[in-house]
Amino acid sequence: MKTLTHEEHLAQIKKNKKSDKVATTILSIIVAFISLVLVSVIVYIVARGLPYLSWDFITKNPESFKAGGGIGPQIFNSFYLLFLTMLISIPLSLGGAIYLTQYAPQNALTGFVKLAIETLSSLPSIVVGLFGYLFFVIKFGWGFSILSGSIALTMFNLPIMVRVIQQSLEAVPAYQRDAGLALGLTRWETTIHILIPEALAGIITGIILCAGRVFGEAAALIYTSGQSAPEIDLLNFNLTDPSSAWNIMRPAETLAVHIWKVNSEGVIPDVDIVSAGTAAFLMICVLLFNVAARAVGASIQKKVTAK
Amino acid sequence: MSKKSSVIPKRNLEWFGIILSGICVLIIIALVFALIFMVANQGLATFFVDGVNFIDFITGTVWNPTVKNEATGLPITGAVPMIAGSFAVTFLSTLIATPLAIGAAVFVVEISPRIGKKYFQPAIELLVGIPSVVYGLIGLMVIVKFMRGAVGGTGYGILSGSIVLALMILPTITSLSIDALAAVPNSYRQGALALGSTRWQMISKVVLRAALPALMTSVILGMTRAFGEALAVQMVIGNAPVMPNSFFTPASTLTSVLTMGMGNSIFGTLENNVLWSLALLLMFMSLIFIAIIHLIGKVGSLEHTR
Amino acid sequence: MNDQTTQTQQDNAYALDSYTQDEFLAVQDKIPGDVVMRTDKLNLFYNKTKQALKNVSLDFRKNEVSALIGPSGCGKSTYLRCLNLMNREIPNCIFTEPIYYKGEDINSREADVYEVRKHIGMVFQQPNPFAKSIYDNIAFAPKKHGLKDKQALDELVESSLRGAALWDEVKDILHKSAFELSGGQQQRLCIARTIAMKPDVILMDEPASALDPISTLKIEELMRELAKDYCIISVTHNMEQAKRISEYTAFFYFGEVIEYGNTMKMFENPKTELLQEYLSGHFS
Repeated sequence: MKTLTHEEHLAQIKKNKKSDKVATTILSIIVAFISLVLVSVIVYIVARGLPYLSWDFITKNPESFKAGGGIGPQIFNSFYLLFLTMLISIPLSLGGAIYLTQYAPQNALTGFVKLAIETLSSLPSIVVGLFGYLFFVIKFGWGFSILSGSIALTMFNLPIMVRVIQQSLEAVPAYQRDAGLALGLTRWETTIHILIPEALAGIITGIILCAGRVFGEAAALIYTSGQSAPEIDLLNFNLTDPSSAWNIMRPAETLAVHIWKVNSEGVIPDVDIVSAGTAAFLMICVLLFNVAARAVGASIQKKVTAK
Repeated sequence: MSKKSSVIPKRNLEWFGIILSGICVLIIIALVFALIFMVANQGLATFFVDGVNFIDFITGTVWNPTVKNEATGLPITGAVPMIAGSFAVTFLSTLIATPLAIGAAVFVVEISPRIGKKYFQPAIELLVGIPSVVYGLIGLMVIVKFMRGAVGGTGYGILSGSIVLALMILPTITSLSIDALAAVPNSYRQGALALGSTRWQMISKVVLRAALPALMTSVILGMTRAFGEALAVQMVIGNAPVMPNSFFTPASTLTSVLTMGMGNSIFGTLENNVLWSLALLLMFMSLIFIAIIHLIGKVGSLEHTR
Repeated sequence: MNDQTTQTQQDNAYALDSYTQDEFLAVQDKIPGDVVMRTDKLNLFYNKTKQALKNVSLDFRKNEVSALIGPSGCGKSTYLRCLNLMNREIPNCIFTEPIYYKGEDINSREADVYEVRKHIGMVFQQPNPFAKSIYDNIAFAPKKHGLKDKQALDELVESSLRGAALWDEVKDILHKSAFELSGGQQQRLCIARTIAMKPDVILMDEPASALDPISTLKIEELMRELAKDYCIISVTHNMEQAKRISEYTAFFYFGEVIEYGNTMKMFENPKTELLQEYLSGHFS
């Protein structure tokens, strides 16, 4: 390395300072650009669809061939599927996360379990959907049904939810668990009565964010809960009747699947209107899930840490 | 105190907890295994039951399952067009998204954590949550239309698909990269600055280097998502199962052919089975991505101990 | 009559001396007092290879405070966590020698670890109240152990808080969150929570190290007070504190007990060179 003269040294410093400035500028531009894209995506979807979101549109049945259809059943189906999916996945993920954080011995078997969950999280949702088609729709003979769909969605949801709950539980300081154990309580009691209440903010936030993800998922559903939305009757509580809204063995197209279907089939004349309106509705729901997750999380956190 | 007898013995209660939570884990594991086994079983039927040559499948450049090959009497099922399409959109979208994502992450962690953490990061997390069909719709409404105007043709194609995917994986990679950079210990930064480095020198020579394995992991997770994304791509790529020879003409990916084809073929036929072979290929690729991530993790931790 | 007096004098002489491990084994039964806990050549390994405790033999008697001292990493906290079997919660941590509680081996398959921990309570370095009300912090564990009667619980909460010198400060805010208390109050709440289990032994792992001087003083006073009813074993890194609170002290060094005995004797006239050096601050 040659020694620099004083002037060369100053020039070097100047150059370094300049590249520092250039880099900062470029990075700022990138962030501004991404922010702009983000805002335009949301504004575009919401603004474009909002004018079509009439009471009529969100309550009416869809049309198969002519214009003017609504998305009433799809909205119900989306929420019903979300509800059933959460009903299955919350206890399963809680149990899984409790096992992994509290009981799992540090051995190869546990490593294997973690690997399996990681594998599931990286599998494309279309593959999960196809498995659901193969296993539940065909092998079990459940057909295109809400039940098949909600199990496929559960599989899509499980790995992330397990991880979220696991992280929330691990974030509770170890000495809290020790305190419970030192009082002669079991890990089970300590987890249920001490760790979970303290981790609740994180767990609930995670669950709501997962709900948003499940709500918008389509690939796992097109071959499990199907692409048709028969007319449904909300007041028919005969669970075996195909026209009962609550029958879990009936096919049920969701909002996200509807957007995809009308665009790829293109048989209704008002595709643009229907998909814009549906997308806006979907987007608003997802935004609400996000806001709710933050708000609920913050309020629980406040409650837990100081009353 | 007389009620004491009603308490379950603690040892039994602990076993109850172990068994209950253990059952949940078993169910999850069983589902994963059922998935891998069933998809593999169905996908391999093409070769073992229907007698399609695996080499022909994996190297054939013509996909036309409804037409029979005169020589073999079997449908023409070369998977290369879809494999090429999948890799093309994956790499191209990663190429577009990575610099932006890592740049944004550097901004959030190193340049202006105040703005970054408070406004940008929540916004990015919101972007992760936008449903993929919505991205597909934007692709259809904006990007495909723009392409049609800019380069002519239908507007569908690999570039349109890649842009949509880039948009989708950008938040994923950004969010993971932020975590990666934030995990670099502050002492590294202080050390670099104490030696008289400018901020940019500190970032480029110290922070980015230290975070490299974690950054690579985040990019590969982004690629995994791009490779497996089905509907958004299917909506904008044009769905022509031909060898891609241009960024601007319709092509197809493994996922798009699966999405389109599964409903249009009869279960159990060769035309249907070969789709399951594509699904198997897709699954295999995700396993490869995981293996790569684990490899990076191992190499990374080796470097740290050195 | 005369014999008995000389016998007592002799015993007291044993009580006032200090010992190396070998010497202790020879005289341990002559030290007066009611032995509640005893370890006999306790060894502990991490990952089967790293030995963290070597042949630790110690006795702890009723109505006495024992201090465990030594440089950091010497095994004193590890040892403490053996006494209520908390080390069983750490994966790959193995200690198999018997640990006697009132003459019974608690480190065995047959012993009920949950029952053991009810009798041998523990207070941690960091005040760690639960995210519950002050009342529930104390009532929670007794409820889970089967105490359902509301009045009995109320009485237990009050007596435990009184026992921890906290009652007067919190009696009007029993249903507020424990996190609203100061650090020192939280630590006394944790002590109250432990007392509520009606233990015989209370293990304390540097219970005042996270607190300000005034709170520390209160905790120390409380420990002296508690010694009237319990056997107290406390880890401390503060020599002065050990002098103030304890009758007996065990000096740990690299997993071994180097010297054990009367606190005053050990501090004023240490027997071993290692303890001398430690006390003069050559290492810590």
